[in-house]
Amino acid sequence: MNLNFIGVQTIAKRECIKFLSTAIQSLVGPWLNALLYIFIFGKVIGSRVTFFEGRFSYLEFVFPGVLALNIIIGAFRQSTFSLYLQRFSRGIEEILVAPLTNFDIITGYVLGALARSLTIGIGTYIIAIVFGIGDILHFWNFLMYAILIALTFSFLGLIVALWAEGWEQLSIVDIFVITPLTFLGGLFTSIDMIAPKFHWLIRINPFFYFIDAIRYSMIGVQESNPWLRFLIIVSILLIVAFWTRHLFSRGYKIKP
Amino acid sequence: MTLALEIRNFTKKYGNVTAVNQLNLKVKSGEIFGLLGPNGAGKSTTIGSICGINSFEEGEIFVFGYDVQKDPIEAKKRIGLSAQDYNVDPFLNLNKILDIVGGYHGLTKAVRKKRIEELLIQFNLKQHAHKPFIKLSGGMKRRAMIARALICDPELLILDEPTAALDVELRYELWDHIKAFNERGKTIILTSHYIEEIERLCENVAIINHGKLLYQGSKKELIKDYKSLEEAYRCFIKENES
Repeated sequence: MNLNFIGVQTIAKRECIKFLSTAIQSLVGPWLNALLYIFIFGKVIGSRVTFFEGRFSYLEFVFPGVLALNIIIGAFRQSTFSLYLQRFSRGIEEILVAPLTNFDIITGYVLGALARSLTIGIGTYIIAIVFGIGDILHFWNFLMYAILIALTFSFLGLIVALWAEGWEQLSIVDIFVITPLTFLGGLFTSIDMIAPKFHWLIRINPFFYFIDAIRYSMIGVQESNPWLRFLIIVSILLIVAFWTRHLFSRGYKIKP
Repeated sequence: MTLALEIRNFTKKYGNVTAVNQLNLKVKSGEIFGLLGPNGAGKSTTIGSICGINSFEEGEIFVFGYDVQKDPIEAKKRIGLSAQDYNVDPFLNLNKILDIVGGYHGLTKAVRKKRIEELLIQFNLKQHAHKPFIKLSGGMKRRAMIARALICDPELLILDEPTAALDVELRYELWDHIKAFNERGKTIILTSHYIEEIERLCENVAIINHGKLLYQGSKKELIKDYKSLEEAYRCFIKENES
């Protein structure tokens, strides 16, 4: 298969232009959220909570989840809004007419979403360094999981962009799936803080593994089996990647 | 005879509605071909299917011998489309639009720069290159759409209503561009509601209505029993409707 490298690069570059031209919304917003989390959990609540026998501050425990949430939201919103807008304005036709394979098109969008997601992630991490909580114990593990998570939500964003019939539907996954499942997936709490009879509920939540992977990479605490975690994250990534490819090859809602 | 476009038994349905029914069409390489038909006749659907914008299940379409479904990349390398609607990001400036579309076609930065410069001069748009598309006048937008279609220097240029809502002067100007492009040996497929436009520019024409081909052949042959192409066209459509 011949990759239209310049074509892919152009789609990705155009995506970057888009999010950089709305930097206050696409980048500064998530960074500001991270600052608020640090203020509330570091200064207001964190100072009153003793955690993991005092090995970490509450903020150190919560921050990896905040970082994971920012990576997730950045990737998801970029691919969702961008592709949906192109569908809506029929700008997608520019791409469909060009000699680009479905693989080229998907790769371009995903690289653009990855760029936004990792830019948000790096900015969020810099904020953590400023507040003295930026240690990463397992750097390569951290990088691998940050990329796997960003890729997963870039693909998921494309699927939602194809499925959505209106602006409201674009936000449904964000509001009713990503945010609640992240909050319930251990963003603020260790699984030990939850009654044992509800542990299964936490363990079937995929966001628990996303957060646990980043948390383990940063502070060395893990609450899931590392192999199971890896398997679950890679499996979800493969499912959404193949699903995206399937929808594009059918021309689902982009080729009437 | 090399064929720029060959359509065999092409049928396109939207749900239960048949937009194009068993269409067969041949366009010779190097000609300006006119595709006529009233609104909803199936012209844009056919064009969309040639270019890869629409999917279809029945029939075959070949562009310079390349099957648009089995070998879409090779087919698309040879096509430039100026769509009826302004399907561009309205907030990007013209320079950026041309640069991005050139990039989609795999042109290197140096080639894109050269092509953009040539096209902006050719279409008298150089002084507007840094204006957002949305701020351009109607005439400029139309010229910009054609310039965009030409960025990859296609062998087959498809112009879907290129002069819609343009004043006479601008229409004449665009006709000159079309003729100049054709003189370089390029093939052009033109759809228009201005019959006069087709009459002036095209040697061969096809008329479709309700997704069916009513006529394909030379313009001269078509109008020999009528006063003008417009009269011939209206008779064909009227006959088909009745």
